Amino acid sequence: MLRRLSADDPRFRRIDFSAGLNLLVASTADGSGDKDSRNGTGKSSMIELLHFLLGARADKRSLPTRKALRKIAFSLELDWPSADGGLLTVTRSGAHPEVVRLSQDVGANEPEHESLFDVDDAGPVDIPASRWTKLLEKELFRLSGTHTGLSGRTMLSFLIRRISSHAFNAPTRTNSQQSEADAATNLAYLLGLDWKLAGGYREISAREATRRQLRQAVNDPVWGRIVGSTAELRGQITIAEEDVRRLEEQIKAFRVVPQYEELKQRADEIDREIRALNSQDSIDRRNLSDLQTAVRDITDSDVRYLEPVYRELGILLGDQVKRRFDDVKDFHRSIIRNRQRYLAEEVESLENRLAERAMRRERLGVELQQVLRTLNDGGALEALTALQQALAQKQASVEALRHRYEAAQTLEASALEIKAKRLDLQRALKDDLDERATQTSEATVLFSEFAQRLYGSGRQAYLEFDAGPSSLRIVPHVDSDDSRGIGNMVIFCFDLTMAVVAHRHGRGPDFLVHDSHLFDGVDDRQLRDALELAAEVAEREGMQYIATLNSDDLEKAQRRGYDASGKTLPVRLDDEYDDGGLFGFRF
Amino acid sequence: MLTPTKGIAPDRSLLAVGAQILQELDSPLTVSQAWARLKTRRSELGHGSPVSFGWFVLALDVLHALGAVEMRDELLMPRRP
Repeated sequence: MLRRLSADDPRFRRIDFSAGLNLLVASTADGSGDKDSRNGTGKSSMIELLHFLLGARADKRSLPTRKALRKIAFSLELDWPSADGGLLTVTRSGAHPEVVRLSQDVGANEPEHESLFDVDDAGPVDIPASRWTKLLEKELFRLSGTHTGLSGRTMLSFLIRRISSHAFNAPTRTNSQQSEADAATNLAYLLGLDWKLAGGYREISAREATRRQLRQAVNDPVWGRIVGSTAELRGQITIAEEDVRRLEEQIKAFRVVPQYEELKQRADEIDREIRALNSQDSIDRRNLSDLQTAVRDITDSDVRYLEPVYRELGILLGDQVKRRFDDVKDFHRSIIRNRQRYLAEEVESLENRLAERAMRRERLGVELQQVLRTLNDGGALEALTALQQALAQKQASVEALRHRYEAAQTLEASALEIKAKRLDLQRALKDDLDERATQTSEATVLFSEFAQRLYGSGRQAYLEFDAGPSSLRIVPHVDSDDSRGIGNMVIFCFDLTMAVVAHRHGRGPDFLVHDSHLFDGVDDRQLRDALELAAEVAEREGMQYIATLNSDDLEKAQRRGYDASGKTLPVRLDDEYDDGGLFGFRF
Repeated sequence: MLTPTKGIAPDRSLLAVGAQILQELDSPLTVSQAWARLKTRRSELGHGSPVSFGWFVLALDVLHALGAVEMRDELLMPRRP
């Protein structure tokens, strides 16, 4: 039971709750325009504050972290049977939302064993907000240990629906982002069904989501290379295996040539030698042609020049001439003769040399061919090692491809597997629902009782429990024309059912909170009946029902004979003055 | 022919060529060597006008007539006066 909502800002309107029905009325001051309405008086803010103090996550968008409210520390006093005096106050501020202060230590630190010394746990204690949610799960919902899929926060969102997360769209969902399986798991717990079976859907849908992402990844150009489709991989494996086979054959046929390196050097040498021979040849050939022209040059015509030269000598250098003409002619002849013989010899030697070189070239060519053939046929030891390394790498890559192929196959097969799992789960859940007739009928009977109180006994109203393909389906039915008003009343009845069943069996707390949005557009007779029903049920079950209400809605109900005396809270919110709202100031 | 004329360039006159040969004949040489060395020397000096082997022999003849060169055992010998 919630006792008191307060803040350390004196302007804040403190709200004291009592057992049974509590109506927080927001009134429109006469003369306030339509524009003022009662939005902003703080009805929904109260709901937000309750959540904030009951461990909701606080981010930049949440109300208490807004600039105007950050400094204010809000407090909620609530029943806590295990605490001294049975009451506990929790305090939290928007400035430091990660820490909450408890008025006393209620096992916040969970001593593993009895302490040797009496630890003073009477004083206030600061604990992390996450720890606080754990404590709430234990205290309000009897949840301890690990319970994957169940969350106290989610269940609180059912018991205190928030307009900010569109919790009034459907009875079985508390926000638009929530997965059906998630919501159904928590509802199953509150209604006393097998929540683990219901939670099984979560795993399946998680697996399915993973599968879907992987499938998309296959189509993605980058991720596709990592995942790959079986068809592609099959092709790649074939090619890679072919490579491996080829390499293996190469290695089998490989002949190691022992002096590979020497042979390579020999080949280079031969090559160099042949080239040197060629250049020597070209020099000799030029010399040869020179010599041959020289041989041609020497003719007897030169002798004809000798006489005029000699005569000129006589004329120019008469007494210098030491030889007679015949002498000179002999000298001339001997030179020429020698020269011719000499040239002939030289030509011959040159030609011999050329011929010799040609032969040498021939021999070298043959040798080079042999060496090169040896080099081509065989290889060095290093080459064999390199081949073997390449083979090892290829084999590894084939192995990797095979693994990926298996993964891709699994991925393609997992669709069927998931389908099969889902069918198994559906069957198990269906059997379970049949066997839990007591629990389902308890809830159904309550729901139909509530609905008939509002709409008369002529209406058919029941809860449908069904093992759906993607979650446990809990569908409240009320025969109707499906107007918005009746939709809201279905939520009202469903919440009441859920809260009562959970509280009866100690699986949930004893309070239920409804925002005034729930009563928007509800016919006045139903509104009156709903308020009376809520009060009655709260009384009967020893529970607390808190609702915020617009004053004109209340007037509608009163016109229909609703007696609101003693049921509305003394605090009234109005928008006439700036300080009329919940916080006592506008921001 | 001995001296430069209208038709004979200064570096081709027999006396000039003979002088060039004598400069190469610092020791006994074969005819071929003398011929080869003359050709090298002329190209080094940049004498473009052609000197054929016949012309070279004439220059040797002139040197012989002047008693500056003899032929002994197939070698050309310089004779210093």
